[in-house]
Amino acid sequence: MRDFIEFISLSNPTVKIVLIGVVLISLSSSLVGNFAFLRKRAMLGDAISHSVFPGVCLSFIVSGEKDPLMILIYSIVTGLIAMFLIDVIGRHKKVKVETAIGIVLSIFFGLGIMLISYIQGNLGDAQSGLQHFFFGQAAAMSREDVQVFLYCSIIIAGTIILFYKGLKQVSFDREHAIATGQPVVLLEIVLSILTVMAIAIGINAVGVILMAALLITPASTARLWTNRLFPMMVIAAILSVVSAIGGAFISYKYSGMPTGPWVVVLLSIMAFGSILFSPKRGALSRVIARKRLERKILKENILKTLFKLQEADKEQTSGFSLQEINCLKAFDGRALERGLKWLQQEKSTQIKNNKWTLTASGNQIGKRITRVHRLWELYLTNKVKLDIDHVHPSAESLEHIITPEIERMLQEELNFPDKDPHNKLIP
Amino acid sequence: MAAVWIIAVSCLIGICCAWIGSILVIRRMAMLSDAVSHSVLPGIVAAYLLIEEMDYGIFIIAAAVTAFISTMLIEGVSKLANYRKDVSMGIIYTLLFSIGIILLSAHQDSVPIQSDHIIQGNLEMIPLEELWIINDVYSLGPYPIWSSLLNLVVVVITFALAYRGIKLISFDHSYASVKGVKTSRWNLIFMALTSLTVVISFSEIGAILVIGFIVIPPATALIFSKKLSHVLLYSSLISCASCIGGYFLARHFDSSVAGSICVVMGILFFIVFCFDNLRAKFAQKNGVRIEHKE
Repeated sequence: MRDFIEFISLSNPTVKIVLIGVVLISLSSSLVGNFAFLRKRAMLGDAISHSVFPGVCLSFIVSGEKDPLMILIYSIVTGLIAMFLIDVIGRHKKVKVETAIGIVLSIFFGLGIMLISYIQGNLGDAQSGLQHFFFGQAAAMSREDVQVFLYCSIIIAGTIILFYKGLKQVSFDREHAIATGQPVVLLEIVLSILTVMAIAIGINAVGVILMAALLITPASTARLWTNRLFPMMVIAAILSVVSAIGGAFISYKYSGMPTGPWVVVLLSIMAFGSILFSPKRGALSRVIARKRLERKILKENILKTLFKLQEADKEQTSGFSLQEINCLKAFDGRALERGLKWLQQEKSTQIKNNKWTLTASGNQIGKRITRVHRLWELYLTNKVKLDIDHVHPSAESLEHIITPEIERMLQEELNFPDKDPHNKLIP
Repeated sequence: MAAVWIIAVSCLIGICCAWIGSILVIRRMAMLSDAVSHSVLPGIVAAYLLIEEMDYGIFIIAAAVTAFISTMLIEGVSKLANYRKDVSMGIIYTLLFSIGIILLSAHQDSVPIQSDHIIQGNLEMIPLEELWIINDVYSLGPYPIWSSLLNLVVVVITFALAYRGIKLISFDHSYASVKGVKTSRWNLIFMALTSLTVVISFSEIGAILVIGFIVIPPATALIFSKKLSHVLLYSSLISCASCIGGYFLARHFDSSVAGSICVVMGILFFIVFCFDNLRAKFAQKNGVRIEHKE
């Protein structure tokens, strides 16, 4: 804990530079990542981050030194060329977009590998330190680097704020954006430049391979928590800042630990947490919702069956045994007993001498389900003109879904009928 | 002699990758090779930490297991969270690769795996590697040539035995299942084959350039050929030509062989691509109707 306070208070100037640098990088890539995610271009970020690598090498060959601004300019240019090529190749009728991404990624990275081995062989790599761009080397950031990152982040954030409305429309519904007269092509170019810029600074911290995570993971995690763009951007930004601080702290506390991979691991932990536990779209809540629905369907089926048994044999007042219920509608295994127990707790059924009967409230639900079932069967035969023997399965599933409003509409549409197609009374 | 070994190994790897790649590209699964090749790293590092020696066979098994786990995770995450495949791919492979790097840096002194080789490959090093020597007399050449040859044999045998099944699942998956082809079994076999190829190749040509070997030659061949057998043949030829060309390019610039091979593959692709575009333009001018995409 004391370590963390010492770390976060920025008392150590080297720590200060690294921390600010990593946070700026994560923040700006998570911002553009939202748009990349929404525009379904997740793997494009991966391709671009591999493609800026030859730019990095080229800037070193041309200028002979590691100048952050030169590296940035060269990598943005190569990144944009790669993006353009992916677009051109992907338009060919026999090459799919995924293939185009793979092709451009590997050609550019191959070129980068050629250049870096050339540099190592001929220019001496002692001072180049270009390997850092494979895995990122946050600890090696200099003051000048961080200054460049700062300017880039300001440009990225500023442009997004400036064009927010247009970018939002383009990302969610491109056709609609065209129809409302947004300068779509211009916006897409702006977005491309911003993405390449974020990647070009990002590879300093996490390297070309892990860059895709900084772009995609925060945005896709945030998407699980909200349906709106602005909250999504805020959540993504918070996630990326938290993991940036965490990653930088781990590499500060344990020497030899790399910052970039830890940032990615922390981001992924948060992503997995959200995938499992997010209230709206999480796996857990979906499982619970499905279980709840299954339960509701089971209960309604039991009530309906009891109601129909009662309807067929009005004299019978002592109730029905499990066998009798199963005879009319087959339930699997112990599901029937379980369902009856739940219903008993809810006071919809009661048991006497091992025979089950409906209570008043249970009777009402059973009656309603039967009514909806028969109404739907009638609707299918009268209005959709289906054969009588085809309508039962559809009614069997829709009886659980039809709301009272739809029920009323069905009744009106069918002029409040009293008999279903099988000549049974509609209760 | 060194040149012969390097070219031989790269051609063997090139043909394996081209065959596997033809199916992957046709099935629009090209980027899967990317994900698999990256996620292999933690498997190899973990295997080394567990058994504490360099055993080629165990590495390949460990890597194949991680590759399999990663494809399962990608499937699982995209199902659980309703993500598109590429999103879950991006999340999973970066996570696995990070874990690999972290393991590697935590045991930097004890693990003799060089992160540079994972990226750049080490085709250049092949002639310097230990030779497989029998009875202290007969030299059978460096190990990689045997592992890649074995890989090629497995790939060719599988294709020979299952050509019809593989063809059916790659061109029309639903038709195949209607016809009674056991698609899930073929899918699994094919995934295993992909993992094996990626794993054997990636130690020689690097985790990222594998993608080039897998995607570029088939994509080039697919531009001008329609039959699967032609695609397999032409992509193998393109691959071998690039390997030879790439080797001499690398010699000329004194640079990485694997990188140069990828660049030559790219150049060949662009030549074919531009030629095809020109042909299409020309045909259009002459009033010939051309089918349009979608």
